[in-house]
Amino acid sequence: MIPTKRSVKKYSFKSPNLTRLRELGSLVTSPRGFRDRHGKLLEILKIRVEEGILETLVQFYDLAYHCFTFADYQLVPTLE
Amino acid sequence: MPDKEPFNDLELTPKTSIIAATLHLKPSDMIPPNFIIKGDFQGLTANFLYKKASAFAKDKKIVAFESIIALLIYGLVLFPNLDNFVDVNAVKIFLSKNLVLTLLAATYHSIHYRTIKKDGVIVCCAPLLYKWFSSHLPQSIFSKANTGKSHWSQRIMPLTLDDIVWYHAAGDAGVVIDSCGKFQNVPLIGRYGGITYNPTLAMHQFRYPTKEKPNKFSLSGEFYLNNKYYANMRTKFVQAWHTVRKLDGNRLGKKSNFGHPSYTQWVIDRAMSFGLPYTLPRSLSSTIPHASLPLPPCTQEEYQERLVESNRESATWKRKYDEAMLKMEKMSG
Repeated sequence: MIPTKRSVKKYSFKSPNLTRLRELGSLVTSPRGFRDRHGKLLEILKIRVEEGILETLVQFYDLAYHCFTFADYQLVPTLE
Repeated sequence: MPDKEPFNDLELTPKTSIIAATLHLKPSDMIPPNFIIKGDFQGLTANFLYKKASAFAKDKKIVAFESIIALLIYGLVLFPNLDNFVDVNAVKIFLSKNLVLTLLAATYHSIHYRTIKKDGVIVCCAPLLYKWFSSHLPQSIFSKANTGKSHWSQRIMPLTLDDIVWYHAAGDAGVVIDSCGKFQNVPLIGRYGGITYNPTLAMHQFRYPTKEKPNKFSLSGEFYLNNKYYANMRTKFVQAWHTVRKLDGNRLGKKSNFGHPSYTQWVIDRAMSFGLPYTLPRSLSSTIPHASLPLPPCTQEEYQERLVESNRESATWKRKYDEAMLKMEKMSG
């Protein structure tokens, strides 16, 4: 069985320049205290997104079921 | 797990004096060129906030410094809008501290909207979406052997149901929000509109077995944009959060790594009719789970039952094996 092929669309993601914010974030003296007060925000600054991967993921978005439908599995971003 | 009603964008914009007080700024800071209107949005410039943060750090005003850093992360990373600008909406969410629902809403809404439009810039927190997606991918996909393949589609397309990392102990939900109010699923409310998401399709991500194919009522998809035409829908979404139905993890059945075969078949059928954006380098029928049974079952139902049972058993052994390995690791190290 071969599924039909959809066309690939051109998407991009908002990717702000975080150099300055990362520098300032490194000045936090107690990351643990920061996490207690504000949650795991500093960890988010450390994530380096691999180029092109999200643009590929979004091609699989299924408008009918509000999830990503791959060949034989689905992935669903969740609250938990 | 959010217990509060979600941030719904109907709240009034806080007074500048309140914003200033929360962020340890002076009321006199809340004027141009620090606090400005850019495009259709009111907000603080990142430049001003950078300078403030540096000054607070220098003066060892830790609480004030950290508040500014946290707000900058909300405004630039979690809820990005215009470049180098933290809009009032991000400030509102920062003050309300109801983050998870709002983030998820923004992610779904923007992806859905851009997919309808068939192109454009997706405005959501890309690092978190990346973290979520990569957590389900096998490590090998990031290995050196794979970097030779320049396109991500070439790395993702060969993955099968068994390659996906479905479950992380750290993400053990315990209780799962199942549906709200009159909805059979979960209505998410974001700044540009609302969208429903379907926990039914995510059960195996919580390591609970999916029961057969999902029923269509729990999958009815709603989507709206914030404008006068959809005011009723918006009210419906907000009201739904007055009644939140949760599923208790202990009652959802034995934990399992496997989906129900008829669910998998349902997904394959969907992929067949909906299509895929890239060429699939394998045949689809070969991925339906097979089981070797001592005696051939007589009916389809019997077959299904035995298959589920055997899947469960193998999942239990796998878990026991993992636990034993973990114990050994602890003992040796």
